[in-house]
Order: sequence, then structure tokens, then C-alpha cells
Amino acid sequence: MTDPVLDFAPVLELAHVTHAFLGRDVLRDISLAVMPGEVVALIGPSGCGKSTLVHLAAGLLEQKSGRIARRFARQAMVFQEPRLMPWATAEANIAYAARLAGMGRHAARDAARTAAARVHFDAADLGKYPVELSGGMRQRVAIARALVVAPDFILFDEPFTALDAALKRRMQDLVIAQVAQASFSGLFVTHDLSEAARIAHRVAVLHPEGRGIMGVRHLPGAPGSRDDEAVFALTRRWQHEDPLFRHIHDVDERRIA
Amino acid sequence: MDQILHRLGRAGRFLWGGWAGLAGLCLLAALWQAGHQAWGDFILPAPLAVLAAAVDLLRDPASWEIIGRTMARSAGGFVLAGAVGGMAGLAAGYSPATMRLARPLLTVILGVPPIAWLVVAMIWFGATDGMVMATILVGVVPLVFAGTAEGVAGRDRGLDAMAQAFGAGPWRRFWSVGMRQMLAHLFPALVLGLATSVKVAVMIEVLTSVGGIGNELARARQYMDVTMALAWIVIAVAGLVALEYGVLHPLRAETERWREAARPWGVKR
Repeated sequence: MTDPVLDFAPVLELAHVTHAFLGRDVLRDISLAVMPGEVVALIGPSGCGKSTLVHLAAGLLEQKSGRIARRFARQAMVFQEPRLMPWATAEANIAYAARLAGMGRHAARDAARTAAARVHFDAADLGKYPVELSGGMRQRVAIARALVVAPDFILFDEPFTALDAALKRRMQDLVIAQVAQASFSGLFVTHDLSEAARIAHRVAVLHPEGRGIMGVRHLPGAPGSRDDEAVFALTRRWQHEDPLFRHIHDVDERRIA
Repeated sequence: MDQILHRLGRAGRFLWGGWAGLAGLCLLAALWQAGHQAWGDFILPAPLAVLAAAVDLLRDPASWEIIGRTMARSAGGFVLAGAVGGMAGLAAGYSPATMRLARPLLTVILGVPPIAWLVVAMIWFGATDGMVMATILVGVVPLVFAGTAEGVAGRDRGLDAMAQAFGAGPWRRFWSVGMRQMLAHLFPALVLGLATSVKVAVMIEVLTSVGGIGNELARARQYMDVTMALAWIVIAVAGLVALEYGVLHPLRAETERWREAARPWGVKR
């Protein structure tokens, strides 16, 4: 944050990225940038390649062509499923990421406890195995695991889709609070317009068939400042007046395969 | 302190589970006794008589040497088979091409009975420990191979991706994520492989004269001494049970603590 020039350079930049799966182009000519301290929500209909895009950004997949610049020191990821190791306790699951980041055993355990407290995960449940936890608690552990390494970039791949409405809301609040507090940037994939409207600084819309980013909308105010009415007004306007969002609820199951 | 108590509790539960095993054994003994009373001493000696004969055998240091020979052979063959099968299984699990090549091979190897391998091994190695181990190897490697390959191929790739997203390299991913999932598949194969090792070793010893428990069984057959034959069988089975419950099961329980946590209260075994 000391260098004003760096401050304006995107932390994540995808330039003309193409990805092919079994010879078929899944994503074509994607250009997207995430600025420091900013959360960009990436939305699009089911099967348009959002998940592939975030996997590319995380380095889990190799792009066919184009350039991906990652100007962050440490990334973390929250997946659609919690992806916890069933043989490890909640604490060990969180500490695992800290260990991968190079922390010692004790430091990792302490960091895990701190991270668990940050996501309001009850310390009494830290010794439990994932099978003993409810879905919401598991996702909390997954978020704590992402926070424990003090990342400067977090990738979210539809993390709250499987949760019920009330829980989803609490998890969103958690992420909003953490972004404001820890000042990391993020790419948040979702197909839920109101989730995007609550959580993001900017919304990018992916083409229904993965042919580029169709457009970007800046949202007014900081993510935490929008109340329910503002969120409702935003999503209403997007759905009824903004042509960019016209195909957002199209579902083409064939493309998911 | 809490951890020690927890550990003691688990050990206690494991030992307490022994009662059920004992009950099963008693049932077997009861059926055996019924058979004894129906067919008489010559065909089926009483279980207590056999047990007494086995205890007598165990009092004799010479018997321990015989048992030691059989166990050393089966353990040697088992460890070797575990290493070879485990390595090959890992390779096949991570490389689908190897898996495709290995599958028909596996079918062929499993299709040939161990006794046929024994003939070939006898010609190659003569009546030596090497011959016994080679036969065990052929019998057990496919089991371990299949268990390992299955465990690796069936791993949760989501966890792999998770570890990678947090910066784990291929080795780290294998040690921390792949290995644990493989072990779950490997343990049943190892238990079966251990039993096969001992059985094959004893079988070879009966057929060839290389000493060990099998040799004593062959002698008992010559003298038509059913009590002695059964006593040796009891000893061999007891050895196997001791190995399985003394070594393999505690090891397994250590790696699979979470499965116990998954069981609802009151169904803990």
C-alpha cells in the first residue's frame, strides 16, 4: 500500500484468456481485472463457465491462451462444497492451510483458533470431525481455513449456494465484515443477483456461452453499507431495465456436462 | 491429559469389544464339541483336548522355532508383496494408462492358482525360503495392488484441488491428502493379504519339506493324528489373529478415528 503506482495496478488480471476442455472452447477471450481491496462478483447463468474461470484464476487449471497476472502474495479459496478433510478435526482442517503457508505446528494451531473465532465458530467444536458438524458450521470452517493464511486474495466459487436463506445471509455478512477488516481482494462467483449486490464493489457478467465478459457494473457505496431496500432496488433494476442481465436466468443443462 | 484419557477410553473400548469375539469363539467351540460327541475321538477330538495339545506344543521351545520359521516366511513375503504391490498400485492409480495395462495382467495372475505357481517356484528356487516368498508374492501382490490403485484412483479430487489452491505441491498433496484416502482402501487388502500369506506359507510347507507348521501338519497326517493336526491349526490361526488384532487393527483405528466419530451415539463398536 506504500507505492501509489502499485495501488492502481490490478491484483488479478486476466487478458484474453481462453480455455478449452476436450478440444471444445469453454471460455473465449476473457478479460477481467480485480483492483486492490476490491471484491468483484462474477455472475452468469448456470453452465456458462464461471467455475472454470475461477479455477483458472486460482491456477488449478491451465489456460489454453491468454495471460493471467497474479500480483498477490498469498491466495486462498472457498469452494462450493466445504472440501474439508474428513479424517481431520475442524481445528486441524483450518491449521492445514496455515501449515501449507509455512507456519510451524504450534503457530498454525494458534492461528487456526484465532481464525475460527473470527468466523464465530465455537471453540468447543474445534475438536469435532466434519461429519459431526452441520452444513453451516462446515462452511464456516472452510471460510476460517481461507482466512487463516492472512491472504491478500480470496477466490470464492459459489460458496453459499447449498445453504438456506438465513444462513446464507449470515455467511455473506461474515465475508463483508472480513473484507472491510482485513482488506483483501476477492473474486466472488455466484449466480445469485442479490448476493452479488450485497457483497461486491463491482459486478462482472459472463457471456452465457463463455464468450467474454459482456459488461461490468459499479455498485454504489461500500458492500456493507447497502441495506435490503438498496439491494432489492439494484437487483430489480438489473433484471427489468439493464440489458446486460437479460440472460442471467437462462439455463442450458447441456453446457454443464 | 484429556488426550491421554481419550486414548485410554478408546483402548478400553477396543478391549471390551473382545468379549463379542470371545463369544463367537465359544459358539464355535460348542459346535465343535457337538461334532466330537457325534463322531467320536478319532474323527474329531474334543476342543479342550486339542487346546491342551496346543498348550503342550507351545511349552516346547522346538515348536517355537517351527512357528518362527513359518511366521518369518509369511511376514517376509507379506512385507515384500506389500512394497511391490503398493508401489505398482500407486503408479497405476495416478496413471490411467498403467491401470489399463495392468488390469488384464491382474486377471491372468489372479486366474492362476497359487499351487501352480508353487510348481514353477520350486523348479526355479528349489526347496528354499525364496520359493515360499515368491509364491506368497504372486498370491498377495495383486490384492495389495488392487487396494492401492483403487484407493488412489477413487480419491476425492476436490480435496486435491483444495490443497493445490492453498499452495501444496504434488508431493505435499500426496502425503497430506492422497495417502490418507488410499489407506482406507489399503487396510482391508492388507488384512486379507496377511491371512493369504500365512495360508500360502502353511500350504507350501505341507506340500514340500521345508519345515515350519505345514511340515508338522504333514507329519500329523502320516500318523493319522487328528489332535496334533488340529493343535497346529489352532496355533497358526491364533498367530494370525494376534498379528491382525495386535498390529493391523490398532494401526487402522489410529488412522480412522473420524469414522468412529461418524457413528451415532450408542452404536459404537
